[in-house]
Amino acid sequence: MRVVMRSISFSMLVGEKGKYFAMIFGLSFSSLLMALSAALFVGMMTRTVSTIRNAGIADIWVMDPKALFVDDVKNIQDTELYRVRSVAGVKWAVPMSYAMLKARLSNGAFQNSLVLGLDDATLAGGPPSMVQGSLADLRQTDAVIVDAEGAQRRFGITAAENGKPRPLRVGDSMELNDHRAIVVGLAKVERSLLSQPVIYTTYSRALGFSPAERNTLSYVLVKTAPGVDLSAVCRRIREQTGLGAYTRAELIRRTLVYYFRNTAIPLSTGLAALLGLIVGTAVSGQAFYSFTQDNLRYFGVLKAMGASNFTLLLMIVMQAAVVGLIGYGIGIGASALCEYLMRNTLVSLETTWQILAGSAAAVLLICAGSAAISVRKVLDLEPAIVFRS
Amino acid sequence: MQVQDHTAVRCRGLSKSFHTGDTVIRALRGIDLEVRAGELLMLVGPSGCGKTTLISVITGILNQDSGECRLFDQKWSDLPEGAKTFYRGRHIGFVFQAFNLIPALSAAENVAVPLLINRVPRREAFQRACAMLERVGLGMRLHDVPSQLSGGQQQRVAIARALVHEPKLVVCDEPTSALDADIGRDVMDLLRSLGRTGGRALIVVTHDSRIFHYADRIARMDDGRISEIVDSNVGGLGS
Repeated sequence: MRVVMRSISFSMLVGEKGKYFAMIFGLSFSSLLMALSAALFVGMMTRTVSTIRNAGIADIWVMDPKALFVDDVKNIQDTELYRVRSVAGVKWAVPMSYAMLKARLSNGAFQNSLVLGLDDATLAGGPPSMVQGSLADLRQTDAVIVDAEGAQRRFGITAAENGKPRPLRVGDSMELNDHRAIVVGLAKVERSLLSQPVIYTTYSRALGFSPAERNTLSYVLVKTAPGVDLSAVCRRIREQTGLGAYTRAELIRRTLVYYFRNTAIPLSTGLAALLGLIVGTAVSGQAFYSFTQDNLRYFGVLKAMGASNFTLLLMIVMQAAVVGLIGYGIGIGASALCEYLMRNTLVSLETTWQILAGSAAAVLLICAGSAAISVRKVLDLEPAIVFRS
Repeated sequence: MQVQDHTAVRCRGLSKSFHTGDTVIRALRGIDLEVRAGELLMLVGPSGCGKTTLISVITGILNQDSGECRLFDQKWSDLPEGAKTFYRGRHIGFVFQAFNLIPALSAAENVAVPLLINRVPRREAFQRACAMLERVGLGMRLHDVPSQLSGGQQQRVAIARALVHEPKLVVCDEPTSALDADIGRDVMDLLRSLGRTGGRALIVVTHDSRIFHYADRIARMDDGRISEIVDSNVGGLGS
């Protein structure tokens, strides 16, 4: 179809303003709903692996062989650390402890927190970046580093001062299992699924904070020698220690699969996305079909005047493509705006290129379906219809 | 009146039936008809006598069951469907009872449509469309959409659209039935003055006896047959 017929096709489309806007609205809403629910899904799933992402330095995570995912902590013996260090290909290995403890603030309020104990010597596996203070400050007596978000929100609510909430600050003290802890720094970390505050301290101090247990080592974080095959090192660790050993990517996948299979996150967000698809199909598909039906006589006129079926087909495809593109653009734009506006809230939205591509494919599907149904009517159209008054 | 001696349309033994369930409706029963180049032929007759079916076959929109139809010596049945559509677009113009202007397009865009279908470049198509609208007296309404025009003005746009690509044959289906008498006369004056230039043939299907005198010849149809053909200046048929 030549450019000129495209302009006529476009004029016909926008000429029916009611249906045009109904189609755009349906597709925009559909794109928005699909993209938002998918972004919510990705955001929530990303939070399930925040512990792994925050400790970005480790190539391999070693843990109890029965642990199903990163937060499924079953402590192992401290001595396993040395066995791991002895495996060929391991450059260095450090301990990490993981415990959920109640932090008691100076005003007596409690807040459940994730306490991570880092290797005393190296502090390896610590937060990705500091907002205030430095990681080395953990070497001070009773020192802990709190995530800035938690200090602002969860601890901010409980650290009331003169009846007014205020964020937890460097220099504030708290109690962890009746042990004094002093905040020496604030760190920027990725939020966890439950958004509980993360508290970093040294491994030995973390053992003091936690209730006494026979086994105290949660993970061994391993750095491999350059150029070593990670899978081979994992296999050797498993064979020589009997522990579970996973590369960072494997543990992320394992955790995501666990949450995918054992929680309602995929179902609830998937249902929202499906709803978007249904709404888009129903509103836009119906409006597009109705638009074509209303213009059947004029397609007949074009056919009588010599427009080929191919030209009419391209006109309809072009009309579907235009509403699809505009609807998709508005929907994705609105979704991006939501993500921007909610960036500092508890809502977790993360739009990836796969979401953009998936939403585009879904909109394409709706438009192609609507066009296919409408095209059949037009192609089967008897041009003699134009002689009926 | 200048009537050229070569034939624009030649139909021989045209038959066409429609099947509705068990019922067979014989719309055309062996039609023989010639339309000369440069003449205005009116096709008259009661509703359901087969007029619309006949013009549909003459314009290649419908295929006859039997017989032969030629347009300027081109036999429709020799053309495949795609070529038929192209030939129709190139050589035939239509004026419809209900105007059938595309509501979303301006007068100029509506008139340009046949040129665009015939792959005339956009700029040239719109120049020619505007010139044709000037000729039908709508030079000031180029950008108006059909809903902003009166019935008579819409039919003028439809006539401009039918003529803009200089077809060899113009077929008009009840062109005045939706218009009052004065406007109907204007439309027929326009059709007669512009339509027959360059040896173009016009076929006008009508019930409107007030316009019979515009015809060079009048063919009366009855029950799928041509019952009589008369020269309009000879009299008969409502004149």
